[in-house]
Amino acid sequence: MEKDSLAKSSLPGGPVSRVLDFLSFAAVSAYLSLVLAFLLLSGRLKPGFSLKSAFLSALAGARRRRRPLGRRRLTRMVAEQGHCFVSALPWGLVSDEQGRSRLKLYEDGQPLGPAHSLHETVRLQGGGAFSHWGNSIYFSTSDNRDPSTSGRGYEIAEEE
Amino acid sequence: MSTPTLVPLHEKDSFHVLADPDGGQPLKREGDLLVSSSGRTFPVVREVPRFVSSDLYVDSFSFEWNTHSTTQLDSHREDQSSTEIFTAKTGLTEDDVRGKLVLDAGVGAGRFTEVLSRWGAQVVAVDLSYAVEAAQKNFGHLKNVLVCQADIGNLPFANGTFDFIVSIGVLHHTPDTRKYFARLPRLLKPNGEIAIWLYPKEGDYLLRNAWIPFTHKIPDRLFYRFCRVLVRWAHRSPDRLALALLRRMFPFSNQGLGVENDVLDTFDGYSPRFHGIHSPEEVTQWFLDLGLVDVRGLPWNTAVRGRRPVEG
Repeated sequence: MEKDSLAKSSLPGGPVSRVLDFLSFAAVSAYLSLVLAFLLLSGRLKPGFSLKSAFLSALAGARRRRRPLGRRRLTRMVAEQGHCFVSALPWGLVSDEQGRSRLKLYEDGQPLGPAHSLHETVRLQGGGAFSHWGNSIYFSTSDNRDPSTSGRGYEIAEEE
Repeated sequence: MSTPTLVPLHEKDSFHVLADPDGGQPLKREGDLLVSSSGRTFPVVREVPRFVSSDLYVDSFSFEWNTHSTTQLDSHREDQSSTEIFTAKTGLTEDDVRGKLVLDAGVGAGRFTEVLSRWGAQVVAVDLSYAVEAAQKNFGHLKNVLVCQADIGNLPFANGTFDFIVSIGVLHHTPDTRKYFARLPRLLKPNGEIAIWLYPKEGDYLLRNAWIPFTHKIPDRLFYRFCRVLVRWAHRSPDRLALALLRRMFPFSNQGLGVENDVLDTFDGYSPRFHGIHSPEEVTQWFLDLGLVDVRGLPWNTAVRGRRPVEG
């Protein structure tokens, strides 16, 4: 038993280990590429990926050449978990899933934050924390009240 | 709730909470063995009682938690991230568990055992894998923690032992989530409570489910090195379009808790042999089928808690 457990101790670091890391990465990547092809062709993997989304993601990648999104009111806001609410966003924005979101959120004109929060933080702590993830914003209000019934207005905009 | 256990757990010469997994007879320590009145013996290695002879189907966890023995501990991170997750997924507070006997079923390196221990619970921390080595190294010195290596499907405790049982992110890694869950409530005292969290049947968990039959076959060290390169690359170049597209097909961790945590979590997501996914309704029904009462879903999806009724 002792022999088994000692054999499962941690990996060493250092330059040799780095080389092994990259060799391992190449080998596993090749294997996973074959698996991916099989999963996609057999329909076992449905990642919601399409040429349309690839095109829109490419547009998002070119965000520096695009004018930032101006202020836009959130309309449909749905309770998610805990203090978190979720609302759909326009396509083509760079979210924290793809890179670094530049989205700002306003409650009756006052900025909320922190942005780039963990969804766990939004759910558990709220207080204005939000996350721009995919094509949605996961957000909380300043006092954790329901934004769809509080009577306050919520807007988004991308910073310049 | 029943009277708190007053005998400290750390009476190593008795291990008084343990029992023969098959017959339920009490165990007596004789040197480095625990002896049952049935004649069966169980070794105590490095002060960890062992009720299995190997880590069976969970070798990836043996590797993972001995490689990342402190990565997710609040004391190591100097934050409250594990405490917050524990509270959200169990609904338990310090007042609930102080002085109570709690089973942490699937301890790993002990991120939640640390929370319970800090809150003053008497914690019995069990794992099938050699993660118990990491947990023992982290908490073996504490008076209110007992670590042992055992199978959740055949645990070494008499019926009615615990005030609380928690199992967070563990049961879906057994061969049959429902069957293994069903073996836990009998270990509760009357009025004792059990809280579990399982992978939900949605989002990244669904995608990973397609990969698992292939990724779990990759040798642990090889796949870990792959995760290490992938996640470090993602952290260095988060804006890359290729990464965004890759995540849509092969989601990997980006929890905002640092590179090491994301390497660990990505490995954890793809390396286990079993990866059950379940809906909250399904899990709630399991609780009801077993006669548990006060069954309620918690704010975290597929986190469910229930209470064993007082019989008679």
